[in-house]
Amino acid sequence: MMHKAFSVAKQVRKETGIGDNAVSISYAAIELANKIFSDLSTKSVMLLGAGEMAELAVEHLLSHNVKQILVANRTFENALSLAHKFNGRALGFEERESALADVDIIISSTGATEYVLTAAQVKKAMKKRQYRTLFFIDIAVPRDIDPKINALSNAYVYDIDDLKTIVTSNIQQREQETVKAERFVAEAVVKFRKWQDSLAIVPTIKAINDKMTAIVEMECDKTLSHLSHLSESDRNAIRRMTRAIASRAIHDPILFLRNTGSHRDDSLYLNVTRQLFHLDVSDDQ
Amino acid sequence: MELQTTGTMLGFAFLLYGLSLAGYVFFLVYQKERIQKISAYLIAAGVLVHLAGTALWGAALGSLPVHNLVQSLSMAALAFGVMFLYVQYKYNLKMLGLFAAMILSGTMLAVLLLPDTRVVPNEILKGFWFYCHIFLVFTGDAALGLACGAGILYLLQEKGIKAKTRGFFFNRLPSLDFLDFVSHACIITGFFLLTFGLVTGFVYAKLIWGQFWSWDFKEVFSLGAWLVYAVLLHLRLYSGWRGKKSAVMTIVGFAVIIFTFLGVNLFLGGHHQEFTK
Repeated sequence: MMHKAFSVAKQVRKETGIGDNAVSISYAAIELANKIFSDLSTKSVMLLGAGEMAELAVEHLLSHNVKQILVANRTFENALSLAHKFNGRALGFEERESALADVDIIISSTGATEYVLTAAQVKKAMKKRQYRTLFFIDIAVPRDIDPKINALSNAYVYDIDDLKTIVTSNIQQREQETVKAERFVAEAVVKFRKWQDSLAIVPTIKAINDKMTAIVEMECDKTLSHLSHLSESDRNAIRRMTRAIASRAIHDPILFLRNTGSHRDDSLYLNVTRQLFHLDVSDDQ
Repeated sequence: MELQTTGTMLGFAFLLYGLSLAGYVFFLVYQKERIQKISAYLIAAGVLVHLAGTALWGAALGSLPVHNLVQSLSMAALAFGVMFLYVQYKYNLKMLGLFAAMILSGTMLAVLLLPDTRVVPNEILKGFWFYCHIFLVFTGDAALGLACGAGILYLLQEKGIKAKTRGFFFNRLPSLDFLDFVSHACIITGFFLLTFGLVTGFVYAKLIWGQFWSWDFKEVFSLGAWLVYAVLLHLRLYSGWRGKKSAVMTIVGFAVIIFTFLGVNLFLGGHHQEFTK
């Protein structure tokens, strides 16, 4: 049962697009980073702002093993403590522009009301870093990163709304795939039921056999105890005959149970049979 | 007799390339890795048949089959196929096969449809330097063609990421970094081969015509294509021309190469002309 459940889960993942797309914001950001950079472990990340959002983002990135984490914050102490927590390096907030030459991913979450990085600043930094790709993830509201930066070559800016849009469309897509997945599960359940029912036929047949054998044995014992004049071979012949009658009597019902055909509802016939032969009650006794 | 067998083999190679193209289209839509593998093996089988057919062709003609348009196209396709197999083996950029299968099927279709005009084998088109020249130029052009393919894939992926729409190709293509890397690796390989191809061409020209350079149109355009890539590599190194700009340049460069290969002969003339009559 467990094994079957896992194999259906595997089939669902393989044959539907259910696991294809990110359905959380941080996962969407990581997925994008992986489509921009081929190897995140060689890339450095700079955090602008040392708040809770920044911390969450880094926790996700760390599971992807980035090369280095830099933290720049207006309050240097907070930068220091966050950097310490993630084995990173703290920067003064004013150093952020010069640091652009060395980092690859910038995650910004400051409470600033103005852009903390402008297109002009990034343009200058781009020249310095020989146009190696920069990926900006702006999770601050209001925005920290000038959206115009996205128009610069080899610079990509995704803000929180862009990421949310991706997540929403992914969820919609996932719902479509869910229909497919549900069909797989339903198919598997039908198959499983069939298998279970086939198991139930065998015990039922055995129960009928047992019951008939018990009746025959009991009746034979009762009758033969009054017929002491019969020889041993006669007694055996009578026992054989009664057994044969019993097995012939239940032969057709058993055959019927074995081949109910796939169109019929096995459990219905099994149920009727068990009631006809009064099998379940005798089991309980 | 041998020419007939050659024709059959080239047809068979075309069939294999075509099947592989169908496989790659299927892979593009349904993303089944197994189909991609089978398609790559189909190209490999096609290249083997193609190679055997070309060898037979050469034996029948008594020289390298590059004397007219059909022969040159077939040779270009063969070089492209071999180069693709190398790049596929080395980098396993799965979608590149789609581009390769398209080029291979298209070129081979032209080879099968165009008439194989009879040419009197030119006795001067032989010898070590000539074969070197042909080998280096054809494989170099093939590598630059694959760079163009990787460049196109880069632009497709880049467009989706820049526009924030993701789109059809997002899950189907690898990262921008990787696409740029493969394209760049192909450019370096192709540029290296092309450089030596041109040099051997000069040496050969000196031996046959007594001068390195004769202002033949093909020579001029070849040098032009070489310069495009030289500039591209230089700018990448010193001005950070990577990513989109580099990808666009690979397409421009390959367009110049195709013009050098076909256009010059069809429209302009010169001492390379007879190869593409």
